[in-house]
Amino acid sequence: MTLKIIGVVILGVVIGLFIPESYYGWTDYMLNIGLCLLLFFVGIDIGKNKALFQDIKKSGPLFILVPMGVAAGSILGSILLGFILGYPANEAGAIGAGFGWYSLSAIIIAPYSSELSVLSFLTNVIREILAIMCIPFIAKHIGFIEAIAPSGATAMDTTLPIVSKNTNAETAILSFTTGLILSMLVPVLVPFILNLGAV
Amino acid sequence: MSSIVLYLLLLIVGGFLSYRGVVSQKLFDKLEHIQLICLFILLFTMGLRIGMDDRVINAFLKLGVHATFFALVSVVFSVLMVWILRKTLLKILTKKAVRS
Repeated sequence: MTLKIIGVVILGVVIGLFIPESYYGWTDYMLNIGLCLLLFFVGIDIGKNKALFQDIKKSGPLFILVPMGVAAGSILGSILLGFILGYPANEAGAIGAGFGWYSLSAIIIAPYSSELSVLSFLTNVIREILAIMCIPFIAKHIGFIEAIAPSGATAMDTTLPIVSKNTNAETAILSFTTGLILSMLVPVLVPFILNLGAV
Repeated sequence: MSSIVLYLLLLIVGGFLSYRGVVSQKLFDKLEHIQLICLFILLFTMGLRIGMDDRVINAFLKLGVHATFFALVSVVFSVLMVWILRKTLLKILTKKAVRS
């Protein structure tokens, strides 16, 4: 799937090289309409899970604490790195707020800046790869709950099998709810942080 | 700011309709395909924009290096923050729950 996604982006880039810049404005409409449709269907997908409230109950206070920690850590770390690399705090924070959901975060950032959109896409693709690589190590040497953190929003889908394999059933449920909350936060936090303006 | 409200509203309305059983099984069956089509159109459009922008093409290598740093820092800080929360806040909450 990741390869298909990267392939579609590369195809767009190659075709985009031959399209005059005067058509740039049209892509804004396409992005806005497409994004609204996608988010509506993502909502439907989330709502079809009827066991959601039972899963939340099982996780207890960790249900809020883990996504809070992942969100705060990702955003704070990115802002700090942004200072070193010369990015404004709002741009660096928005990259961190992608939480590994590379397709959506990059699309939300695209109308703001193509350069930042590419950075967000690459950052979150690499984050997913890093998560796959380091979850077993973190589960073994640091803790089961901490093993959810690198996944970010992907903790509910692509990296869930890895978390589940390297931890236990309770952590797998927590991983799902963490991914769910972070996925819901991405379309809210990314534009919110971007709109905070350069600091 | 209006876009944030719109995005959140669409998520909530979609989730609510689905949870209440208003959405037909036919749509559920096609949901993955519909999402995939939307996603691919969006990603293709994003690619077009990147290709049209000379500055991005010229800065691609630099962006790749920066992206690796951003990804590393995001992972390290999120693990660290969850570890701190587990060691501090969770202990306090658990103690309170035991007392009550």
